[in-house]
Amino acid sequence: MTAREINCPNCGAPRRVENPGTLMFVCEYCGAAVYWDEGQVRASGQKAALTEGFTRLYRGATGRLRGKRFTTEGRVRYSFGRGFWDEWYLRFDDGATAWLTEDNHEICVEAKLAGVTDVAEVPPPQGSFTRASFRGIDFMIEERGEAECIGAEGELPFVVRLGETYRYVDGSSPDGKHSVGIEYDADPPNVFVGDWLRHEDVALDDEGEDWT
Amino acid sequence: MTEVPRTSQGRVRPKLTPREVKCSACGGMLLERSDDTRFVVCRYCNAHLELGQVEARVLSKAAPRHGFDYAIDDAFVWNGGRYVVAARMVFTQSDEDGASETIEYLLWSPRRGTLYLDFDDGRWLLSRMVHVMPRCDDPFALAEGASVSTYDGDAWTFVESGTGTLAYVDGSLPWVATVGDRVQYATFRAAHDGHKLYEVERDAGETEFCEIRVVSQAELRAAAQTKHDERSEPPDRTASRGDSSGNPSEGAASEGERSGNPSERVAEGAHATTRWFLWMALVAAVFCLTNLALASQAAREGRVVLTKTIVPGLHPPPAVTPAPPGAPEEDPDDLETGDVIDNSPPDPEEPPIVGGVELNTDSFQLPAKSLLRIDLAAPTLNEAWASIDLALVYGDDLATHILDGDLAHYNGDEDDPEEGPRTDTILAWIEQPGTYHFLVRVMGAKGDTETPGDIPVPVTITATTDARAPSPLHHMAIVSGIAAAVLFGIFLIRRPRAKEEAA
Repeated sequence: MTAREINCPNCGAPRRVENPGTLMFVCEYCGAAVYWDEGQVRASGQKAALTEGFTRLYRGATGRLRGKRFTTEGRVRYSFGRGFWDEWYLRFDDGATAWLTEDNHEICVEAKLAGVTDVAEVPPPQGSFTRASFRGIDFMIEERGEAECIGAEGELPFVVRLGETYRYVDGSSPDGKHSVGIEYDADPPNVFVGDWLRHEDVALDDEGEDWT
Repeated sequence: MTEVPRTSQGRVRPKLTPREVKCSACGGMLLERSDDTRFVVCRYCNAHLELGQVEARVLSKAAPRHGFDYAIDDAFVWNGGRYVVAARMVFTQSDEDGASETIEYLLWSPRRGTLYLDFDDGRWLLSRMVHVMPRCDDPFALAEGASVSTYDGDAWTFVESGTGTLAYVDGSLPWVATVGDRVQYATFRAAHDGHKLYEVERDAGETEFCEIRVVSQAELRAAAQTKHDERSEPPDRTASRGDSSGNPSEGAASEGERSGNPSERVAEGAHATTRWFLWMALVAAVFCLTNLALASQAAREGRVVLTKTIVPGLHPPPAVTPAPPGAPEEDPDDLETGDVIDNSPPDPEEPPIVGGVELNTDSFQLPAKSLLRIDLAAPTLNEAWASIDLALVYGDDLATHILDGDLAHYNGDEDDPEEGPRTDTILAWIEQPGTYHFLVRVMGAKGDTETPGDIPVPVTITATTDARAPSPLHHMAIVSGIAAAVLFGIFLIRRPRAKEEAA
């Protein structure tokens, strides 16, 4: 599929969308959330702009993730009530994509597990750690709550709507190497499994010399 | 929104521009450190504010607290990353030993996240979040001394568990904090490393794990990037901490006033800059003095090949009589002179050379293409003069250089008490290596008579080979000396004033 040249239906600004997986983008000029609906480009009527500069990653950032070059295509920000976290949508030079979660600058890279249908409701902890197991990896639950989508930017492979909420559970493998996220926004819930990354696992071309 | 330009390596990182937030209680303008910031304590009125997307909501107000060792915005560098103090929290714990408190500084970096610097039980601790978990069902219900391992293979000894209650907070946080918030904790000590700790913390809905290490005073000193003179030394918390009931003394660095209104902070920044420049001036002055000393040392460099002291009366002067008119000019020593010898006829106005001492020195070796420095000194010369003529002789009889030096020293009047040098330095460039010696003729007189006779006092000739040309060294020394004096003067004059202004 070739790159798509389109105009923002809200302000008319031109945009070149290169990733064929993009189903939504946020206009860089007017902040309108724009999505494809049955082949038509439509403005959602919502402004989804996010402030920039406070995260390690940023829209358009390039670099290497464990040696593999990537471009940061977009971001979705979620609130968990007492704070935020960001989900960065990465596209690698070989065409592969991944989600990189940045929560208080802790970073993990995750991919959705396909074909997981037997996700039980994770019970609340009662004096001990709650366990879960996916694809042979044991996880312990560290956090649970309700997430609300509060903004987006760049290009995304799905349509997000501001104000959407869903329940989530996050955890890690006991050795601290792997992460798991269960999102109860569908039936069955979506399960994401990945790796916690060290700071040096991600090398950005522009790290921001003011703080390094 | 405005698109940020792209480079060949992707988009340029957008600037970190904190937005301003207006305090709903007093109207003061606050800088929101991060778009993650959910909670700010107003630095003017101490109101606790929950930040929404549009406005700040007042949650409560609290009395300010002093006695912290570090101020909001103080900077630290850990592992090459810069962090600033974003928030300060005080937790109180009650256990069987009584009440105690922990001071916690939240260190924030927009690129690296969060570290926590705690002062607890007389120690400084630096902790970071990890996801490694303990191999036990309930880490909060262990007996003291219990052995536990974590899933990464480390062994730990259970130390204590309890509940900490947030008693004070200021600065800004990425979560909403409320005085009275409680955190359950279980602390472990590494089985084989007393400086390493591990902690499990749990509050409503979330369990966190921390890797902790004890930070030495030297590490803290190296990491702290504060520019404040009064805090250039790391705090001795054991001396400055108040009692353990949450009533700290004011003995530690008083920072509350420093971080007052923006104009004070600007003035403080200006004073800090002045102090920094003054200290730099002092450092530069020290460098200049060092340069001066090195130049002086370099000017003395070389290898002494001859030291000869000529004493009056030891070498009777040959009877020199004026040559009869018309007699052919004759070189008395049959020197085979080089091109530099002045063969012009003697000036009839000059008095004839009579008296003095003439002698050949010992031989010495000189390398090719080297500078020979000849120092003449008559330290006891007083109300007298001495003249030294030198012929540098290569081999037996080839004079390569004809040189002379004049010494004279007289006591003047009150305005100019002394005049004339007791030392002189002559330089000669040596092209050809080999054996040389001096043919020396010294003469002088006491008083102001121009008629030469024997030298009035001993004269020492020192020849040094491989010497350095003194002119650039002298210039370097002079410039260094002047620069050092000026910079040191600036430091001495400005520093007390800067201190006064800062006060």
